Amino acid sequence: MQRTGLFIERAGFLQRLNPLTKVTGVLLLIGATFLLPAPLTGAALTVGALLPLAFASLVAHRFLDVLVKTLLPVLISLALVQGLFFPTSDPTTVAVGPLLFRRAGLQFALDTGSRLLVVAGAPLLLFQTTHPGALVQALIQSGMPRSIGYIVLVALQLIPAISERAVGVAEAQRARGLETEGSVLQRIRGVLPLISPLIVGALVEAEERAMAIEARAFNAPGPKTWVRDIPDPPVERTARIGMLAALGALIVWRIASLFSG
Amino acid sequence: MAYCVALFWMTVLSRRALDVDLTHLRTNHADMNDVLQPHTRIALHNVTFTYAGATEPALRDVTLAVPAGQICAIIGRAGAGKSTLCALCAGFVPHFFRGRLTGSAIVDDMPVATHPIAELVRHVALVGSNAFSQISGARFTVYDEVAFGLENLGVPRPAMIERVEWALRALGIDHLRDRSPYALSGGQQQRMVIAAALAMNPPVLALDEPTSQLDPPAMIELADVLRSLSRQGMTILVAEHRLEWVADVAERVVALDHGAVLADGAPASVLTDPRLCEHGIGWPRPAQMAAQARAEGRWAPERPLPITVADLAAGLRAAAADQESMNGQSNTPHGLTVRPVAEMDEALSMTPVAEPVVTLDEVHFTYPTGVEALRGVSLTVRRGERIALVGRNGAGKSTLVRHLNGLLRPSRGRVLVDGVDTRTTTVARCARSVGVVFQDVRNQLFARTVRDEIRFGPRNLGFAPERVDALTEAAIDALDLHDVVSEHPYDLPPARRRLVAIAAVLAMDTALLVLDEPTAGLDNASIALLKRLIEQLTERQRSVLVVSHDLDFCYEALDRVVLMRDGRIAFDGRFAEVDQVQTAALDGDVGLPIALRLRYVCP
Amino acid sequence: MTTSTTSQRSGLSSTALALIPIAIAINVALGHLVQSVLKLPIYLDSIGTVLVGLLLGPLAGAITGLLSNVIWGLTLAPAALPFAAVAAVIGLIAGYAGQYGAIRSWWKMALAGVITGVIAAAISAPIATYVFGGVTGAGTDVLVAMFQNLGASVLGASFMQGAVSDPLDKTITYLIAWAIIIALPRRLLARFGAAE
Repeated sequence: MQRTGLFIERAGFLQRLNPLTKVTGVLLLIGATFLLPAPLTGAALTVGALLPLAFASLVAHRFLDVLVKTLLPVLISLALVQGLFFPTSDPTTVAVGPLLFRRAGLQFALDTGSRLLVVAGAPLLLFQTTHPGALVQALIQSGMPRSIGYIVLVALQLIPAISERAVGVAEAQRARGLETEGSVLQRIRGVLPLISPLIVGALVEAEERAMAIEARAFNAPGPKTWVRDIPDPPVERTARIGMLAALGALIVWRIASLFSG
Repeated sequence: MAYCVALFWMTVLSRRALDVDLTHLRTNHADMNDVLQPHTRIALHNVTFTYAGATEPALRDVTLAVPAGQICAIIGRAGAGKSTLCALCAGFVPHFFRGRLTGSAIVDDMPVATHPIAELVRHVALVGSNAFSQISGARFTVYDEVAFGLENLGVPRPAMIERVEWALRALGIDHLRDRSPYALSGGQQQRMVIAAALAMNPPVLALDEPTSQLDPPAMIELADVLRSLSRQGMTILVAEHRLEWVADVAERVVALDHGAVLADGAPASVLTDPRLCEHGIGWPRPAQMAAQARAEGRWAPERPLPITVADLAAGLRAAAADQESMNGQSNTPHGLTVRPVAEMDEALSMTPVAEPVVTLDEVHFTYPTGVEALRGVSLTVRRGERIALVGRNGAGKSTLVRHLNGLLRPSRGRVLVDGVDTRTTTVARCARSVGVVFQDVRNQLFARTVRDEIRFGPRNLGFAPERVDALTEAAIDALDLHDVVSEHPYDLPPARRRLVAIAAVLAMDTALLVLDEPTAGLDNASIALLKRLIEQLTERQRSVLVVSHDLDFCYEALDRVVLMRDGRIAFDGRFAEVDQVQTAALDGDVGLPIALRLRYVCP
Repeated sequence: MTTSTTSQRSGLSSTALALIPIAIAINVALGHLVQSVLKLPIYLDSIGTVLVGLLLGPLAGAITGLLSNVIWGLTLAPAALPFAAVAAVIGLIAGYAGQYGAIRSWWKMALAGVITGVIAAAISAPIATYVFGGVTGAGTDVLVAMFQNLGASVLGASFMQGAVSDPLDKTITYLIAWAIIIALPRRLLARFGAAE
């Protein structure tokens, strides 16, 4: 299988679950992170839930790799910007080498960073363990418009092709003497010749693709069928109801605690 | 009420889905009536169609009846109405492309004007030339892609699986079922798109220029598939430029000119009809060559003109035998030699000491992915040379082309463009000496008018305004674009769009012009224009390098041939001088031009 | 001029269904092209969204923006998901700008770009603040630090950072979209309905 985004083909625990169960799990985890007190919840959920699940699904290495690569710059920036410049009336500071960090700022950075682990990590684990085709089919079967699913899947597969086309456009225009290595002004002049063929070509292709959509009877009236079956055992359905109930309870508890002071 | 109608169609559709094999259709209709009068699958009667916004009709008073199981080819110049006819038979005209339609068009007993496309797909499938953009993109394997249309029609799973399996086998792509649709070759993608259309069980297939993106082996495979479908009772309408391929596959040929039927009948008679030449459609090569032989007294005057190479060889051999028995001796072995066009211009061609434009010296190139695309290539392109660069897909041709103007720089070895090492200069500077027209013209065209498009290159090179104007007008002349200079390039038919792309690079007035697959999708008239252009360039001591799978074009328009294999040059010689060993090498990798086949294979 | 069938549930025509995924792929691919080939400090990662909005209206524009970020999340960085709402609003505004007729002159397009930029900054600020603590890990974080040092709150600094960089990027995006649309062939304009 190629060009399927973040998905890694492995036979682990999460891969066997129905995509809807995993989506519900992601919602519950993210909800809990924002509803329960930080920084403990985020860190605890990452270590206690996301990591064990990643190991059980045989994707732990890649999971940590992507998580660190995407979050590390944000976390460093968070620590520096908010640690040094957080607007606060609390004068307490912590010295790290020559830098004087504000205690309240570091607390804020820690709270946010710990939540970010779950906000980024939970969907990442979902996408790494769920084939996009299966995810979209499951969402459509539970009520998402088919056209939305169609758009997501096509875009996902088109990105490599369009990137390749972008390289081809650059080659064709440079071969016509377009200077892309000169001064800033010369390079600005290059924007239109580089972008226009890509977009006009894409619009022409969109017309052909629209014909293909018609030819495959995408908008034909009547019920649809699926060539593949996505298993959904009763135990998972029960688990989903349980998770939604837990999320509901958390929300009610949080609102109640806000009103009680 | 609407629900009842939907329910009715559901029942009808799912019952049709159970007709699992096309042979079934044939037995259905093989009763006495049909034996006497074959069942007509496509029935057009006095059809005239004008696109909304157009002043001239695209189809004029077309009447056509195609019986079940026939392969009917539609030929004609670019813009003659071939695509419109295909679109009409599948209902895209008038449901997707609006306009005014008169007359009656009935396909598989369905009047196309009154039924939506979603319903017509059960009766007729339309497949265009660009397979890539006809992939739904919503499925990740070939198997699921072929099933996609059936899912949308709500076909029950068991019937769906049966149809998908049938379609995969019928198109010979069963072994690719788990591959990604985007990981296939062009020919495989096309067969997948046809399979996806045929899975919906239509008895009629309409193909619009199916070979324009295919290399010769894929063209042969497609012809085999079409013949096998036709044997199973499928009616096939195919609009096509490549007349040799038409001669090979069609059982009937209809020639269109300005939207009207010019000739209609058996391939052997239509494809040698003199009116084809008068209207710029031309003949397939064997007919052209026999006509030339007839003028030279090497073809019996009463013998009909051939449309296949086998018939051409037989005719030439018979004529030579007659000659021999009359003269008692023969001067040329078998008398089969057809002179290459290039040979006649030998006096014109360069002297070996002509100044080099590009020199490749032991060039190696490895892509960042680790693919070693060039493994020691040395090549000199001199002024006034006409070179064909041929080889299988993946032999290194496109990598070599990208070295000619510095788009890629060698990992080892060096490339000199007009004496300057490409590592020490920019692509924009190399573009003064080497102009490249890539195969996909969509990557190139962006201006609002044809004239602006052509001016872009010379202006980039910083020429004086008068010179830019002069070069632009000369390029417009050379590619016969006077009537469309103010049009948007994308409002032209694809064949002329390619000519605009060529004119745009020609106007840069480079010492070397590189053309990548220039004949793809071109009609014979445009190909003739291209040959004339190459000849004129040679007279002005400009060099031309053509990368192409179209060996006949190479043989007729160029004189030197460079065969690439696995990143190396397998041989480099002149068409007029290739020997038996080199011919065999060419034949094994890329096939042979007809003239060489006559000389070495057919006798 | 031309017709195509429409899905009953989403109201999207087959033309929109064909164009939107390509526009999304362009959003993703163009950012790369402009930065890697021309090495210019602009993003242009919403040009597909703006084009679809202008050509096919607010709904299609909003869907393009929203799903662009979903795709971004699916392929590269799940952290892009929270900003999907911002991208959707960008498409929505482009749709209204198209209906209002902004395409008729370049200065109206530039104005639409500035407005889009300010609104985008206003919506992304709270998301950036509550989800990301005001930073994104990119160079613009320096601006956030500067504004906070001048006494702004995290939310205020985040908005001001956006208000400095977004209108410029969006104005350039709208102007490029304008240049492309006015140069489109008649046949395509007819199909994609900008002629209305």
